[in-house]
Amino acid sequence: MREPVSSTSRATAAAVRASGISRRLFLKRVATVGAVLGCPAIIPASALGRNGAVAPSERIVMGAIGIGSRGMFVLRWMLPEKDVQFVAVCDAKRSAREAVKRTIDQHYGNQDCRMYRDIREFLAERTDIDAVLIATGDRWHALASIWAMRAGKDVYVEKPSSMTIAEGRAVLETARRYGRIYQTGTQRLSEANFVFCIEAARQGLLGRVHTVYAHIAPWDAAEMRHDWLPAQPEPPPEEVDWDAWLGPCPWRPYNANYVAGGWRGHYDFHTSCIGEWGAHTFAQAQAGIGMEHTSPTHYHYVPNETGDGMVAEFANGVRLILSRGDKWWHGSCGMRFEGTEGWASCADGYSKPEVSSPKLLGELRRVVSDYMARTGRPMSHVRDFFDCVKSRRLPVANAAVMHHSMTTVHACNICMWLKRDLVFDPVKEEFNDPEANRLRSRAMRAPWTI
Amino acid sequence: MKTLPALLNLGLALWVAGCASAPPPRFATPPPREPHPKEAALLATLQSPDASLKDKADACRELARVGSTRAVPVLTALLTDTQLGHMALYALEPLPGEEANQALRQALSQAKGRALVGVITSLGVRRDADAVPLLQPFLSASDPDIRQAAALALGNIGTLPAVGALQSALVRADAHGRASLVEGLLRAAERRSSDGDRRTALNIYEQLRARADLPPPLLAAAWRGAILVRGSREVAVLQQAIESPELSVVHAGLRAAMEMPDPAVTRALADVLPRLQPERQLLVLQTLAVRRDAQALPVLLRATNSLDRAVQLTAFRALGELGDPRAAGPLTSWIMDSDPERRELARAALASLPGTGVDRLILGMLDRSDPATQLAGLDLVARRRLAAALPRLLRLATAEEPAVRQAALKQVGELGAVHHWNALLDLIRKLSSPEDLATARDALVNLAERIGAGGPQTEAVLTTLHGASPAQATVLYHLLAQLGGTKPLQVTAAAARTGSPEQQMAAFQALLQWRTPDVADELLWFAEQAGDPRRRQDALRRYLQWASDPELPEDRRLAMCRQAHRIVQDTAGQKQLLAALSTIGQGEVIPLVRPLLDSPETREEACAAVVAVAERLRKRSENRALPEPVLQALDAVARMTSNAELAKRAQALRNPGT
Repeated sequence: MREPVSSTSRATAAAVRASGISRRLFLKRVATVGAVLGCPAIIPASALGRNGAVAPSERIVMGAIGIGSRGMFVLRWMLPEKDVQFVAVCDAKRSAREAVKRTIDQHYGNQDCRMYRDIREFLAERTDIDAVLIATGDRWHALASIWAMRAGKDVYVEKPSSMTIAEGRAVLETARRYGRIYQTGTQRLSEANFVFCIEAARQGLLGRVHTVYAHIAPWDAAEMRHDWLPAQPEPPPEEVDWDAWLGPCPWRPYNANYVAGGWRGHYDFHTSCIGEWGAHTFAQAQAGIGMEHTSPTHYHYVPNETGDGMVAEFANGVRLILSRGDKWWHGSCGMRFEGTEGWASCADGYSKPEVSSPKLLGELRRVVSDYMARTGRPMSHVRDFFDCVKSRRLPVANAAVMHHSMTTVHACNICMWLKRDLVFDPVKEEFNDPEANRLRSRAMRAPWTI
Repeated sequence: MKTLPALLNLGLALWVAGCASAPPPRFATPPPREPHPKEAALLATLQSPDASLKDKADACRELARVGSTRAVPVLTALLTDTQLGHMALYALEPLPGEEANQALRQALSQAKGRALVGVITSLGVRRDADAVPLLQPFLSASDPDIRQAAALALGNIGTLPAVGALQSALVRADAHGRASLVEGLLRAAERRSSDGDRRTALNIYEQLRARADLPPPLLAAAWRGAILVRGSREVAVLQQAIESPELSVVHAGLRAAMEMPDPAVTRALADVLPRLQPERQLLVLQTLAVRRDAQALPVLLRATNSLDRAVQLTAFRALGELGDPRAAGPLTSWIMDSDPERRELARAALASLPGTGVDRLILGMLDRSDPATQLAGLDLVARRRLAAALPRLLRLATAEEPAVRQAALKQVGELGAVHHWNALLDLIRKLSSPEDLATARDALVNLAERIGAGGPQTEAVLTTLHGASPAQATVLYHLLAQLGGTKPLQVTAAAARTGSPEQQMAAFQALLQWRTPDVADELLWFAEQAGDPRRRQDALRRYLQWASDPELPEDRRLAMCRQAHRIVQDTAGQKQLLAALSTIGQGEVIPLVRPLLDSPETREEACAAVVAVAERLRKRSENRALPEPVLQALDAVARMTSNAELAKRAQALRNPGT
C-alpha cells in the first residue's frame, strides 16, 4: 500500500526524491528523534516503541517480481511480517500478476497493489520500494537482482542465484558496489536442524570434518535438454510477454508448457539436477566446513547421467560428495557431515537431526541458541533478511556466500558436461581447461543484459 | 560549487590524457591450436541452406565451447541476422583471440537495434580496449538501450580512454542517461583500483561524489568507493559519510567500514560517535560490533552509560556481538538492574562472551550467599549452558530459597550427564513440596532424553521407589513411563492393581502415560476389570489411542479393536473405537463397524469410518474391486449419511469411473 502523499508538502516530496529514500522513511528520519530507518537488528524493538505494531513509516516497502508457486509460498511467508508491506507486483504473465495482486490485496484489505509487466518500468517508476522479492524462473534471478540493486533495492531472490559463474560474480559485485542487502532463498541456512549440523561441524563437535555429503535432486540429469517444444502461437504480450519471459536466454518459439513450469530440465533455463538442490545443499555444506567464501579446487567426473557420487575437493582436503539417493538421509535437501569423532545429518521433515551419538544431540538446543545469540540471526530466513535490511548487516545467504556455493554447482555441471576431471582456481575463477572456461558465461540476449 | 564537477572532470580528462594506456587484459585462455573435431560439421550446418533455425542455434551453442578462429567469419556473417544474431554472439563472445574482437568491432558499423546492443555488450564482456574509440560515439546514440550498452561496456573495459569517454559523456548526459554512465564509471573505477590504479579510481569517485544530481543509490556507491579506495589512512571521508544528512550515504559509509578491518577505522568511528544524534549512534555502535575489533570495547562500554535509552540498550547487544571477554566485569553491574529490558540485554551479552574467565565469574555468582545473585548466576548458567556449574547446581538444588532450588534442579536436567542421574534421583528423596517434585520430574525426563537413558538408569529408578513417599513415587512412576521396559511395566502394573491407594493412583497414571505399546495389555485389563468406572474409561480411551497408532502393524491394531469392541459400551467409547477402526485398511473392519451404522448416536462416525476404510483399501488394491461387504457398507453409507460430501465419496468408491 502506498502511503498517502497528499498530506505532505511539495517541498517534502522534493526532499524525499532528492534523498532517494522512501517517503515513509524520510518522514521518520526527520520527524522522530530516537527512531531511525536502518535501526539495527540489535536494537530492541521496544526501544523504538513498536511493541508489535509497526508504524507505516517503519515498514519495509516491498515489490514482488515473477511470483509463481514457490514465490507465492515465500510471499505468504513474508506478508504476516508486521514491518513489511507489499505494494506492487511485476510479472511477464498476466494471470500471475493478477493472482499475486489478489493475494496481496486480500491480505491488506484494499486494492492498492499495482501491477507491472515490464521490470524496467517497474524499477524506474517505483522509487518508493525498498526491497523486492524475486521468484522468477532461474534464468531471470541474477539479471533481476542486478537491475533491482542498481535501482537501489534490497533483494530477496529465490535460488539458484545465478545460471553461470559470470552471473554470480556480477551479482556479488553489484551488491557490493551499491551496498545492497541481498539474500538468496536457501532457507535451510536459517532452520534449526540444519543450523545444528552446520554448527556442529564448524565447532569441531564432529572432530575434523573430512567428508560432506550433499543432496542433489533425484530427478532429471546433469546432462540437460536442448530440444525445443513444439511451436505454438505466441499469446499477446499483455497475456504472456514471451520476449520478456525468455529474458537473457536464447530465443526459441513459444510453448505454453515452458511458462507453466516446464522450463525445468532445459539447458537454457535450468541448472540441472545438481543445481536444483545443490543450490541449497552446497551452501549448507560449505557453511559447515567454513568454506563459504571459496569453492572446491578439484572436480572428479563420474560416468553416470546425474553426478551421483561425484567428488569435489576443497583446498583443505575436505571432500564434497554429491548424493542423489537417500542413503545418508531421508527427505529432501539432505546433508551429512562426517568427522573424525562423529557425524551429523539431516534433511527436510526431520524432527531432529540424526547424529552419531545421543550426547551430540543433547547439544542441539545449546548449539542453536548459541548460534542465534552469537550471530543475532533468527531461525527464519525471511526475518533474517528483513532484520538485515534495517541493520545493513549481511544476511546469512548473502551474495558472496551464494556466489561461491553456486560456483561449485556450476563447476560440477561443467565437469559433468565435459565428462572429464577439472581443476579450478577459486580466486581467479578459472579452470585448467579451455573449454570449461568458455562455459563460465553465456552471452545474454539484448536488451536483457548486465 | 556548481563548477566543481566540471573542474574535476576537466582535471581527470587532462590527467587521463597524460597517462599511457595500460595494456588491456585479455582472456587467459588462448585460442585452441587445433580445430575441434566437431567444428567443421558445426560450421557446415551454419552455412547450409537446408539446416533449420534450431540446428543452427544448436551449432552456435556448441561453437561457444569448441569454436576456433575458423568459426569467426561464419559467425560474423550471422551477427546481423534477426533470428540468429544473438546465437552468433553466444558463440563469439567466449571465443578466445583477437579475431573475434575484430569481427565484433566491424559489426558495430553494420548492426542495428538489439543486434547492436548485443555486439556492444559482448565487446564489453571481452574487455576489448581497441573498441573504446568505436564505442564512444554510441554514448550519444538516440536509442537508450544502445547508450546504456555502450556505457556499461566501456565501464567493463575500464581503460583510461574508456574512463575519459564516460566522463565526457556524463557532462552532457540528461537524467535518463546518467545512471548507466555512472554505473559504467563505477565499474571502471573498480577495474582501475584492482589493477593498482587507485588514483584514477579515486578521481572517478570524487567526481561522482561532487555531483548533486545523482540518485541516492549511485551517490552512495560513489561514497563507498571513495572510502574504500582511500583506505584506513584517510578516514575523513568515512566520517563525513556517517555524518551525512543522506541516509543512503550513511549506510554506504557503514558498509564500507565493515569491509575495512583496520583499527584506524575503529578509531574514526569512535571519534565521530559523540557528534552524532542518538539514532545515528545506534548504527555506528552496531557497525563497531560487527567489525569485531577489540579496540571498540571502551566505546561500547561508554555507550552503556548513555542517557539515551536506545543507545544504551544497543550498546549492551553490541558488547555481546563484539565478544570481548573484558566486557564481562562491567556487564555484571547491570545484570540485576531494576529495568527488565536493560537487565535482559546485559545478561544476554554477558552470556555470549567467550572465555573461561567469564565462566569463572558466573560460577562465582553461584557461590554467593544472596539468592538474587544466585538466581542471576543460574540464569547465566542456563544461557551459557555452563556444564562446569553442575557440582554447584546439585548443591543449590537443596538451597533454602525455593526459586533457587527449582532453577538449579532445572539446570541439572538441562546440563547433566549420565553420572548425574543417580544424584538427581537422590535429590528426589530429599524433596517434598509439589513444586520441587514437579521440577525434579521434568529435570529427570529432560536428562533421560539427553543422555539416552537405558537399563542402568531404569534400575536406579526402581531402587529409589523403595521407601519413597507417595508424592515422590508419583514422580518415579512417571519417569518409568518415559523410560519403558518390561520390568518397569510389571512393577508399575502391579502397583496400579495392588498398591496402596496412592500408589495405585500414581502407577495407573503412569500406565496412561506409558511411551511404548507393550502397555496395551495392561490397559485392556484395567478397561475390563478396574473397579473404578472412571479408571475403566480412561484405560479404554488410552487403549484405543494405541489401536490408532499408525506405527503399529495393522493386524495388531485390528486385534486390539476386536478386543475393545467386546467391552465397549457407551457412545463415547464407540466413537473412539470407530476412530481407531477408520485408520485400518482391511475389509475385516466392516463387520465391527456395521452395527454402529444403525445407531443414531454413532451413525455419522460409522459412515465416516466405512468410507475411510474403503478409501484405504482402494488405494492399496489399485483397480481391483472392493470386497462385497465393503461395497454393501458403502451402499448403506450412501443411503444413511446426512453428510452429502461423505455420500458422494461413498458413491464414488462404490462406482469408480462414473
